Amino acid sequence: MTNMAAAMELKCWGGDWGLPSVHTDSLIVLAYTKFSGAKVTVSPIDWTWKTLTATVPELLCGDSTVQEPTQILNFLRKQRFNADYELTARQGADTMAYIALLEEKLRPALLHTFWVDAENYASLTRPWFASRSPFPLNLLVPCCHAKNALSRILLMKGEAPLHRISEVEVKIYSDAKECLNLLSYRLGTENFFFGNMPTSLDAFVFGFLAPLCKASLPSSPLQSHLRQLENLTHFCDTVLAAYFSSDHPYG
Amino acid sequence: MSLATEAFMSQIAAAEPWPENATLYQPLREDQILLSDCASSLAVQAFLRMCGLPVQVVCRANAEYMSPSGKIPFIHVGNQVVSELGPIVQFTKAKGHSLSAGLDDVQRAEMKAYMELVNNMLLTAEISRPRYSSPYSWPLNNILAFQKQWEVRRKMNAIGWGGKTLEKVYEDVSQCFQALSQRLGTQTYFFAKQYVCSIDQFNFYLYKPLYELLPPSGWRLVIIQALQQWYTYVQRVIFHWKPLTPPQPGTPHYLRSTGLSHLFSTHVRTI
Repeated sequence: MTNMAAAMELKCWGGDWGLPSVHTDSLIVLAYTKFSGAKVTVSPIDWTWKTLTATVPELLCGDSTVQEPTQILNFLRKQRFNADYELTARQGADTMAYIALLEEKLRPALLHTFWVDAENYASLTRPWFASRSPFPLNLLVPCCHAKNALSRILLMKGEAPLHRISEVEVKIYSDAKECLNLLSYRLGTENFFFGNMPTSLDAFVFGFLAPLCKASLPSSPLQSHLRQLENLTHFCDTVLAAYFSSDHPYG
Repeated sequence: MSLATEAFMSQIAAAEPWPENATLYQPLREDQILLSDCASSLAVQAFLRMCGLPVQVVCRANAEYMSPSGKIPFIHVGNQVVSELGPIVQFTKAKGHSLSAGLDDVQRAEMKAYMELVNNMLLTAEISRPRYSSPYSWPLNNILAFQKQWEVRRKMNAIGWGGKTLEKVYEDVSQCFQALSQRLGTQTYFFAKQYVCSIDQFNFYLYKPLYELLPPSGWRLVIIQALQQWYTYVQRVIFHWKPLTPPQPGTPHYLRSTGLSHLFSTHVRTI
């Protein structure tokens, strides 16, 4: 078993808009480290060549390297940083199910809002990511991400590479709005999804919702929809205030 | 389809009662059908049976191409054609038959979440089962099989699952089953004492195509243990729906009976 005292370093995208990171997957991991009390050194990849080459987020601990939020959370649990300790088996099952729902219904619409929607991409996303990458990567990094986002949406939702994005847009946004409504029903008036302490599901929901909540998007019906669901915006604000307050944004 | 079209379709659907000659189309059972499509198709059949609506199942090699959205199964009711489980449930709801009416919002949220989990698991499991042949003659059968496999692989790679090893697949499948078993607990059905939810029949037929994975024996035991609760659950549902006359090939009863006897016999062999 890896030495628990070994320092852990997390590579992720940097923060803005009042968030510790603007990148959903990075936010999920950051939130979980706070909830579980894991001490990690955060190394933003902004302004480095890693903006093109690295898979983000990435956790380095001793000799091991772990990528992808689910794998990183599993790794942290094995290191005994477990925010889900108090959950019953059934609540654990619910966690798996809701995460699957987020990935399937919400992620395509988020990718579209930030990377495919022309107005949002041109006025917010591309300038932000270009300004955080060194020359000449600032010309490449946003385009790469945008292309990946588009192909991912089409593959997940369109049935063949021949289908155009406009045909699937209506469906992905109505699925996403439904997903937000379902999350809102499930959260109700509680502070977190399973009682008074946040768990991995709260980390995932925070990672997905916070950028949508806080980014200054010029045109987003999805953002307007989210802002009407007060318990979800309150949830994001609670997590930010309690775990990412301005005196120590990273821990 | 747009929201306006959906509303219009609902209005048309509501106008006529369910006809006697409704038909469900799916690809050929033995070779052609994919896991997730098989489960969807059986789920639709079970759903319609639980609503008490008669439907005839027809297997066609070109079912995918006949479907309006390219997905299977699809039903042909009166002069309307509706494909995929979600729209079919909406369609029957518009006609006045619904299984989920008794659920509150939170339960509906949970139901949708669990259906996504199951969908994901089926997609994962598809990796270890690259079986898609075609009833067409050479070279079309090879080309179509290859194309289907390529599509599935592309989808996997797009969501980052392309590199999953077989071990990881079995681990994910058994985790998912355990999650579903936990959720079921000791209840009769997923959400209530009666079989009021569409997820029940969706999951009910899940194990049959999955069992055809035939993983190595170590993993099989792990998955079977996770399936223990499913056994009692499935037996309960079957007991309720047991037909009085021997089932004829092509009917939903026949498919269900063969699936179950296949499962029971293999289960007994492996324990």
